[in-house]
Amino acid sequence: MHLFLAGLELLMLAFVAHVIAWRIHLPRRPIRALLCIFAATPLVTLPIYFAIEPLPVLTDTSLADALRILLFYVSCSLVYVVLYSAIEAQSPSLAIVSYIASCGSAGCTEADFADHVIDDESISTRIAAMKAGGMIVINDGKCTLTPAGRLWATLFEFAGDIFRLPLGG
Amino acid sequence: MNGQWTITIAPVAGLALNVLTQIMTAHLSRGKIGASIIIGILGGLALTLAVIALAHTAAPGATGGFADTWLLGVTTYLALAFGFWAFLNLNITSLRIRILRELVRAGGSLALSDMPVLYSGAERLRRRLERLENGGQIVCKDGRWRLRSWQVLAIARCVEALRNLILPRSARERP
Repeated sequence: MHLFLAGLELLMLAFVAHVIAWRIHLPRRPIRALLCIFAATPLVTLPIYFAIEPLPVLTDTSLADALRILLFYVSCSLVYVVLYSAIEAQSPSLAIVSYIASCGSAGCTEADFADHVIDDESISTRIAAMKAGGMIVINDGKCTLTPAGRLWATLFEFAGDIFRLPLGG
Repeated sequence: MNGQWTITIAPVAGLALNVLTQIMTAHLSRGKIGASIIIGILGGLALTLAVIALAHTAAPGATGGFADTWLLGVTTYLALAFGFWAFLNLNITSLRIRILRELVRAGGSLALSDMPVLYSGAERLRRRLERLENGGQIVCKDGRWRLRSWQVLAIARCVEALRNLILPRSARERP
């Protein structure tokens, strides 16, 4: 049980650090800041842990077990980073479902969505986030990929071909 | 390879099978993406469980208790599988990725006024309603949309709760 709990404790520590940091100051590049917090948490915690050794059973852990905790921690951290983008900017699909739920058993028409769910602001928010993230630049009404943006765009296009994914949005 | 190392690599082996199965199923079924994702996830989970069981049987004393053997392995696999599903789902649903893909298809640069995703609000709405209807989440009767299932609503409520916990009030009020 101690390996599983050690992984969970690391995750909880990183999450608490993230909530406190966000409450103090919302970072300009939140995903990068989130990755830094989740990477820094074990790097800061482990030397302290080994210095004070509160539970010798963990300091005697084999390399395979340590790798198992690391794998668990990294994969769960990445799950949270993925979920964070839905927390940061409300997903249109979730907004549609929430809106329909708020209408109750009477339901609602498509015209209602046009007023409440699909708005140009959500698009401009995403474009602003892509600009802030260094994916695109906009000059004279023209949108251009940066080298980093081109790399990501090529990766997603390649993935679309390999996994047979349609153009989304 | 001893039991401990076999258990360590079990979730990674599961993820590898998940990816390969999804690719093969998507190509063989000619674009049945939903089915290919589910088959991939289940295939990967089966392999993860099989590898852990094999290691546990080969060296029962060396692999730890139930939580450290099964719970840690299965949770790690599910987290990895979720990451892969999110990557696939992002390609299908994300407006940002659609913008990136449209830009790369256009050679890297496009006038804002020429980007289909920016002017076709009705198309974006239609696609999302169609996806939610196909997924059994909502249903249209007599021109009115109603909720059919609670799963996505539960996710929306959880996301809203996390938003309230994490983001300061000023950021929550933005769309």
